Amino acid sequence: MATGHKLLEVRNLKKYFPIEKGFFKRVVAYVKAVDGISFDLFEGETLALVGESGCGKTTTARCILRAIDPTEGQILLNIDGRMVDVAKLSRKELKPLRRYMQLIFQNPYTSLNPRLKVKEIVGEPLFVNKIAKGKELEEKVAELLEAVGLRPEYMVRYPHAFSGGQRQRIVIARALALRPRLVICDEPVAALDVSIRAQILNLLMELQEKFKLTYIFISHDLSVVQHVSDRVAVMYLGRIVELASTEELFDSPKHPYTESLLLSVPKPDPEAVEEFRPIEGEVPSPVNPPSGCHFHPRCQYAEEVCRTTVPEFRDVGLLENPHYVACHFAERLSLKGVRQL
Amino acid sequence: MRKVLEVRNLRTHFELVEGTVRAVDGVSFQLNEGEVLGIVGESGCGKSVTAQSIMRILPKSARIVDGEILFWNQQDVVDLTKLDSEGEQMRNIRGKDIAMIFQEPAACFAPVYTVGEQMIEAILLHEDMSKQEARRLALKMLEKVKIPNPESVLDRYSFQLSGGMLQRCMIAMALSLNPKVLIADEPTTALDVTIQAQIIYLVNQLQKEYSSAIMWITHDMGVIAQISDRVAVMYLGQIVETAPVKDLFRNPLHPYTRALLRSIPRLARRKKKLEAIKGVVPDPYNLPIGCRYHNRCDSFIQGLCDEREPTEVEVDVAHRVKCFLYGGR
Repeated sequence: MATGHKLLEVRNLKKYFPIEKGFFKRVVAYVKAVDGISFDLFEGETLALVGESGCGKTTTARCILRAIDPTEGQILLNIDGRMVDVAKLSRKELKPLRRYMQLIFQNPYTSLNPRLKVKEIVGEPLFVNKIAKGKELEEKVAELLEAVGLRPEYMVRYPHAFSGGQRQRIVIARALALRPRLVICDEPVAALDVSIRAQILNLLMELQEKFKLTYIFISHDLSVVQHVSDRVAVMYLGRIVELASTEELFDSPKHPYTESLLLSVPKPDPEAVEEFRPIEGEVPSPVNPPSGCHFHPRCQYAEEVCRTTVPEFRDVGLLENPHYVACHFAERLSLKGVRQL
Repeated sequence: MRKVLEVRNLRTHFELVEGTVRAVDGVSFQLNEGEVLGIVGESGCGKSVTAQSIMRILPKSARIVDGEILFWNQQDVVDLTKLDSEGEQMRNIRGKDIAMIFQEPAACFAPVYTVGEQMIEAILLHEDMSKQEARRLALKMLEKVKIPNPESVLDRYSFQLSGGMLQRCMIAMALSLNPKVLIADEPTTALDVTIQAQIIYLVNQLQKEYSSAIMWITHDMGVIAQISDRVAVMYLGQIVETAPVKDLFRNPLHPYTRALLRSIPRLARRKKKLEAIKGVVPDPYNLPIGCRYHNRCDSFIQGLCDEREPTEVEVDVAHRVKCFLYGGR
């Protein structure tokens, strides 16, 4: 569980991708993939980033890891009590910090090098960081494989010999090799079968406890998110529209987009088949997002002010239980959560 | 209810260098007029191969080795397995009487022709009408699937449309000839949740208007619950349980169905640990002897499940299960 220490502070993070045209690569427009988001991450918690494709979840993750350079904003990482702005560091300064942050990818079929043995895949981070080599390296790899539920003897095999779920275990072992503080899980179970999904989710939760990990959990699947996360941030077109504790967000959402997301999840219960009208329209292009509140063209509660003014991202919750939302009418609307469905 | 399609003991095998994969191995079910049959299972269980066998669009390495696929066409009954897959009769049925929509709409439209050209071509292949009439029909169908600006969409290319829009176009194209059977192979898997909800809503609406029987393939229990009347659960090339949708969720019988339902995280039911199904789906080249689920099963009976294959038993009206716990010896 969360300890109350901040591990990460993201402030006004922006990432614009230029669209270039013609021989001189003139910049004609920008894709505003992430457009000014702020959130805190506390040690030991799982914060979920949810939203539909193109909402900027993965771009946010890649900025935090400095896999890409953010356009603007601060990413403050707590390193033994010191807040370091990851966004400002040079490549060289970043190197020693890389081990604090790791990533688990979506597709275990493409994130493992088919020419390396498991021993080399999981051992590589230890080797390049000069933590272990030779016999000691092998022991460490064996330990890691056991931690993720694989037999240590498997380390001499190549990735093709493993099923999807087992491969994802290898990816997890590699991510944990350097004992990171922050692990970003980018859709870690989306590519897996239902029966395997539960195994991997359980494993991730076990490992969190064992290694005191903090997760940013990226997913489009709300039922998975509800299961694993402590807090949830809902993203829409590059902005966070709502951020609250999982229970609060699912029981009493305050943003109309969150409500329609919750309504859209097909419930595994044939008795609950109801004639609801799903929200219309599709996510607009991030090159030319709607004015004001990005969600207004699809929102059934939208009024004139939504078209003209960007709603402030503000706290409408109680003191102990903050609930951030970016909607002009957050206080007025009474929206349906999952319990009322 | 009248039967439109009946699959009897279908076996479709793949001959590969590494050995034979029995992708579909003794599947029987029937599809009645106007109903939605959900077929659910994990990857590799043979649900798509079953669909491809019915459409006779199997890859070269696959062969239907046994079984019948009976299709009621007006008064005649044809066995689709007996037809030449590229022959006249099958080509007339495919696309007209039995239509299919696929998971990846972007891969199903050619990028070099407009959406309209492809829809019109499909209509003209089967119907005796002029190009203008076909265009009008295509336009009407796009309106039916609630595409905004249908006129302009007809003249656009697939890459200019979003995934949700293309999926609507594909549904419009499939329904334009008013097929008796519509096979939907994971049509919402590649879509976002809000778009998926729109498509499910649309299909539920259209179902009332067109009397097509729908075979809806998916791995998502949520989608199954929302869309189907009856469900068949597949595991490793076989149907292990068939039941009306409410029965299946209220009273799942086969240990695999039960485990599957327990392992899905549900909204409004937060619990720390999920009940996972142990083990992995076995290697398709060496299928387990006896019941194919026995090595992952909680109720495994030594000396029975690992030696003999259970037969299907009817436990309740239209609720059939293939498991020794309910007889089947």
